[in-house]
Amino acid sequence: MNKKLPALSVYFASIVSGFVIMGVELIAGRILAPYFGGGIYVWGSIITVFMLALSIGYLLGGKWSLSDPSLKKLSMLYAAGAILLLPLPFLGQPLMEALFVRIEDPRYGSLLTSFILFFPSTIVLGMIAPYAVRLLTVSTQETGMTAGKLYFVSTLGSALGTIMTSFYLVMVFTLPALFGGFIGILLVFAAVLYFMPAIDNQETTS
Amino acid sequence: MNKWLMLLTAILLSSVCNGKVIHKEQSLYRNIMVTESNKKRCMGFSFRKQDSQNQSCKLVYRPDYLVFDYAKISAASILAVEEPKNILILGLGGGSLVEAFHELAPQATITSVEIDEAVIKVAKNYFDLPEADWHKVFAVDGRIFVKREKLKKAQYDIIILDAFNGDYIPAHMMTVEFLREVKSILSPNGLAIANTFSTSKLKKYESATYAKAFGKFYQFKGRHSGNRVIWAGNTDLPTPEKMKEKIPTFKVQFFKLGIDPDYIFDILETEVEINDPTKILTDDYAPVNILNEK
Repeated sequence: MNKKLPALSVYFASIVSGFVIMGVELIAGRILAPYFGGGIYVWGSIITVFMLALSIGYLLGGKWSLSDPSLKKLSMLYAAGAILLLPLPFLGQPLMEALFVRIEDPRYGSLLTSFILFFPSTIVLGMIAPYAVRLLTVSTQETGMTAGKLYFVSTLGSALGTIMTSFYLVMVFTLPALFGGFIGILLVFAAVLYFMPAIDNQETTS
Repeated sequence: MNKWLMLLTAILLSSVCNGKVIHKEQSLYRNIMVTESNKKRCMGFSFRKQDSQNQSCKLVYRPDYLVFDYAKISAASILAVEEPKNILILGLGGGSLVEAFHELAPQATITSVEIDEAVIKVAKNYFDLPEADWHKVFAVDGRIFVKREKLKKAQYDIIILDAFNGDYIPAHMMTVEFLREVKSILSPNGLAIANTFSTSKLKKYESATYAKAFGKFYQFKGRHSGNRVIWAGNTDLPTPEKMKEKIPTFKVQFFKLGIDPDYIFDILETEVEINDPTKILTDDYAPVNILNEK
């Protein structure tokens, strides 16, 4: 087996997590619109919650990477992210129905809904980036290069997730189907990372 | 340039702004520009004259006159509804329909809903939007307003769906779920009226969605515009013969508003063919703005 394969799989998985984060963020707008409208505050709520979740995710991911990091643990983040996205298609309607009745102001209604629906999964998906940096880092001098490459691929994945979802995917698929797709692709990469042999850092840096 | 765009440009050419710019305003949602020529004053949603298609116009010397085709067709709905008491207008623009309906049904309370506070302000300052006890304005998203009215079990005799976001109708205000919410706040003999584009690629989706929510509906394709106005009711709509009987009652008002009933009934289609009943727009699937750009 190619010795670079484990490291490559981490890069590919980072593209995927970036893609899914932005894909979910974009369809969040569609999910909230029937209850909270298409006002600018709906996007404000969604982006606030995603940014907050990512910032906490980065911190937790970095912390978790301190103790005995492994590909198997990274794969668990993908699986956990997928599992936390799973209830959204079912939970969304009744939750928004309940909040709509209780909260008159659509700004706080959309903020609370975004928080409950998207905060947990986005934290977990945010943990992936710093964790992956730790897994791929070989020496202190190369930390910056590794982080740079990972940010490059994961942000590229985010750009792809944004344009693909908003331009094309919403034209072809229903929202539950899109959720299913995002969950499926996370689970596939959870499996890929789980069965990958450990990264041999000596080889990957040459 | 694609076909749809060319067609639309040709149709709208007559309604593109010309005249002097008298007011410009940037809101959260759009740029608003008021232009005035010696004949009419118009509101457009762009600062560039060449692509600022007018949302609302008013003749300087005949302020009651409805300039747009779709507005005339919408106002003619007075023939289909007996003594309306509550009228709801989603999407305000310059508010020409507010005054028209007050003319036609002075007994009715009119509620206008407009997401953009700035549009309301401009309508008040430049288009004499009535501030009276018979007229209420709310600055809120139309979908939210309808949902809240449903909770309050409110009932409207006429509901005008005229919300546009610059390109077209916002996605969340075209779905079958939204139309069902609208239907739920229609009085038993009430009428929902929607302003759509007949050049839109979405047309067959829209037809299927209206048929799903309302059953049968009437449509009017404007000869002087690209508008397709849909009339849909809680129950069966009155026949054209029945509606024509009421024309004499509104003769004076129709003249003032510039409504020609012969033209209205000429373009009325009481049977609309639904080509593909599976193509309905839902909250889960509404590729509205994308499809429309094609």
